[in-house]
Amino acid sequence: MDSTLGLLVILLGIIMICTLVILRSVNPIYSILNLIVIYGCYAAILLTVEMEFLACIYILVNVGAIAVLFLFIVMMININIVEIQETMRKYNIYMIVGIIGVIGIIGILITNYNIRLKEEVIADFSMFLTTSESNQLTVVPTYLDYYTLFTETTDIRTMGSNVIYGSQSIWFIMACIILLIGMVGVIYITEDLIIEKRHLNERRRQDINSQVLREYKTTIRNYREIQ
Amino acid sequence: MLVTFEFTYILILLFISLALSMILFFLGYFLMFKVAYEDKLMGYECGFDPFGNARGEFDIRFYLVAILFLIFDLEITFLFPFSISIMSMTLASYSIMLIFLIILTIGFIYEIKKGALDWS
Repeated sequence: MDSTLGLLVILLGIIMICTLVILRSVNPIYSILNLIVIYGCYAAILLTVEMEFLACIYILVNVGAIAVLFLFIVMMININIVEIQETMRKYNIYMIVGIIGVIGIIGILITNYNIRLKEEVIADFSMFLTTSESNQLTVVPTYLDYYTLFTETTDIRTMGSNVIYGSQSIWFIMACIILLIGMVGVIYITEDLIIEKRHLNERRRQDINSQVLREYKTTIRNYREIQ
Repeated sequence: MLVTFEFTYILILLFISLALSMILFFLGYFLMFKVAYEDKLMGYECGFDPFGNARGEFDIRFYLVAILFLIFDLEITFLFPFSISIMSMTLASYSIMLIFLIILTIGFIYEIKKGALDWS
């Protein structure tokens, strides 16, 4: 647990720096790349509390979403970089507030859990101990606990058997309906553009069979009648 | 504890993939012949600018396919815990999964009938 806390502080520090870069960066593609780093850090934090499935899903879903965001930036946003730089200055106050918030979270984590490194504890009592005893304390015996291997469950199994399809299944159906709305909504929005393009292609279509079978006697008939 | 054994293999795999991607990224940079002179930065003789905006607009159907992929990606994430915990399930939770799949199949049929996935 002591090493976990240090890891947590480092990860929160990386997240803080990346949020700063997201707010400061002029180019939206750089802010998206920093978003990937932030989601990686979130996944690492979830791994420290032994939620492997959620961490994997975080990476999987967010990388997919970020690919869509890339397309969105390339397609939709047509911006001048100079304009952004001017409007960026009004966010400086929010950034200071955000820094204070993250520092507060780290402080709460450190003070609430009140966890000290094992080496520090040993160093505090080192005046009562000989050097060989303190060396013995630092060595941790490692062995395989077969009982926990049999009884433990992973988070994916707990989520599947108890949460998603068990007690909270109504929210599962809600998520399903939201996915359906997303599917139908995207098709409804892009319908006009795609159908227009398809009509254009149909008008331009080439029918080789009728072109080859065309004869001058049938096609120039009306021209003769006029003469 | 069961999972922590497998993390070592994931770490090895991560290092291999990292090394491979770094090699592929820098290989083209080092194998390239670079001859730099001022004329490369000048405008073309015909009057075109050699450097333009990299973000050209392209077809909206790429975006449509990406979003539809994302939705089915999310659907598959719901299928993972279902397949793991199917032994400890009641009939109710199984039928809820069936309802989920039926509703998303209705959406899929709607896509195909509308022709959203046709690339004509």
